[in-house]
Amino acid sequence: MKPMDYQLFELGDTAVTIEFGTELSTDIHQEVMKRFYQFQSFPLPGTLDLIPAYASLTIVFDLGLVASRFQGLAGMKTLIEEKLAEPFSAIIPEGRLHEIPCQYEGPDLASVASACGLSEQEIIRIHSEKEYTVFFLGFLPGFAYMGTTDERITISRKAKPVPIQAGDIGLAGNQTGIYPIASPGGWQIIGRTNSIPHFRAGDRVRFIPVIA
Amino acid sequence: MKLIKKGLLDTWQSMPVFGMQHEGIPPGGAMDSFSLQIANALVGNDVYDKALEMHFPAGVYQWETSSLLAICGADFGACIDNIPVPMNQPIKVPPGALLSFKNPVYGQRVYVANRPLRDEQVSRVKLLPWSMNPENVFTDDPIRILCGREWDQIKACSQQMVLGKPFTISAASNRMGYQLIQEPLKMLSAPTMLSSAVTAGTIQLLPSGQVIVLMAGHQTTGGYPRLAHVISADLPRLAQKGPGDNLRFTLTDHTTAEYEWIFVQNYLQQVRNVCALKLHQHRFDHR
Repeated sequence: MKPMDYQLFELGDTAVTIEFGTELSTDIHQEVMKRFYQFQSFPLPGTLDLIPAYASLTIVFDLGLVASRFQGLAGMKTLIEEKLAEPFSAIIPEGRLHEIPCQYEGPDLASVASACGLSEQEIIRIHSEKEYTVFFLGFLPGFAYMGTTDERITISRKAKPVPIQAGDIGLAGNQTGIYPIASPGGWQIIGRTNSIPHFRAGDRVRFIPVIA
Repeated sequence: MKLIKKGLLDTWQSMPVFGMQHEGIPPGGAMDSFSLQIANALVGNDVYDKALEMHFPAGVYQWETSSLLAICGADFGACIDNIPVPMNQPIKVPPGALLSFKNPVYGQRVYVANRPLRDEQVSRVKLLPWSMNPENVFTDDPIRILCGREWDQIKACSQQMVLGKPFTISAASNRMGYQLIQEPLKMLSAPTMLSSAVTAGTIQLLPSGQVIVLMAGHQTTGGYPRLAHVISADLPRLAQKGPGDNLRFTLTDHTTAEYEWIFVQNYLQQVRNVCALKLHQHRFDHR
């Protein structure tokens, strides 16, 4: 199989990001997970972390090691290109289904509804009728990025992060997610839950509307 | 070491711990990893040992056993039993010695490395006759940055503002990140970005036009445009700046970033070697 097109760029002086696309798609995410397992099974020298995201995989390096022995990040980019050209097939484990009870009474529900030109009831129906995929964990320990949401409820992040409670369920772009711990965040909060499972990338999620 | 009075934000910090970022668990670690390493070297600790990171007002601590300690980073007017003691110098303390900090002189974070002396009874506070002089953490030179993925997506006049005008560190700054205050920057177009990995030093552009520099306690991923990245070698210097301080940015390249990192690592290795030798000779002389 021909390798998927990608772009490489440096993330500061310690990491390289492999970007397989700029939009959310199942195919691109499958490629990210496949490459995550490839670089985990056959790590490049100096690898400290592998961070998968929706459409990218970031490799964090030990700067001292790669700068003194591998011509720095420029040298690592060459090694990454060689690795990506190698044939590799990975078995990606099938995810579990989590059904999460959700009280749709978040502080931003009304503003999201008016921004989308829908009623609050329609936002709730549209958000809860779709099954989502956990694309990856990030941002906070245990925070699962899920998607994709229906395009009718696509909404941008807030201009400034605000304090958010543990269990709050938010929207950002065509992503949805649950805050596992209290934290500042820019997502639009439409609901909350008391049940936060231990997610793994590839799991599936359904939100069940409940009355508090 | 026993806590007598809690400080504003006292935590034990080590070097960052990598390997769990795919679970959303960030590497964390000391804000000023340079001063942490100097402190550990002065007492003969391992590179990976923890030291106490404190902000002002800092906590008051009492030693329960004879110990060797070193105070590095910010100068908060350190005193042992109410007598001022020097920074960046190994100090032997007897059981009962009380460490306190009187007034902030410069810097934001002080590091106290500590090693119990198991085979020695110390009867009074004693300064060992050597010290380090790691001044480079407190220079006012511009902070060096590398272009980020979205650098070209801000207007040319905004690029000039980033590089030409000073930023002020806002009061809403902490271990996770510094919010910087300047005129709002303007993007060429409003991007919808997918979240992806970020690192310590990543400078993100908020939709409001303000910028945030991610620091040691940063999250693993983020969805704001990545304007630029502070080079690793300059992060300790940035960590010693705080709310109200001004800073300037200047562009550099990867070769410089890598050279400067190697330079700092070599310096730290020399400090560790010298300190280990001095401590060894001292033990030999005082057998």
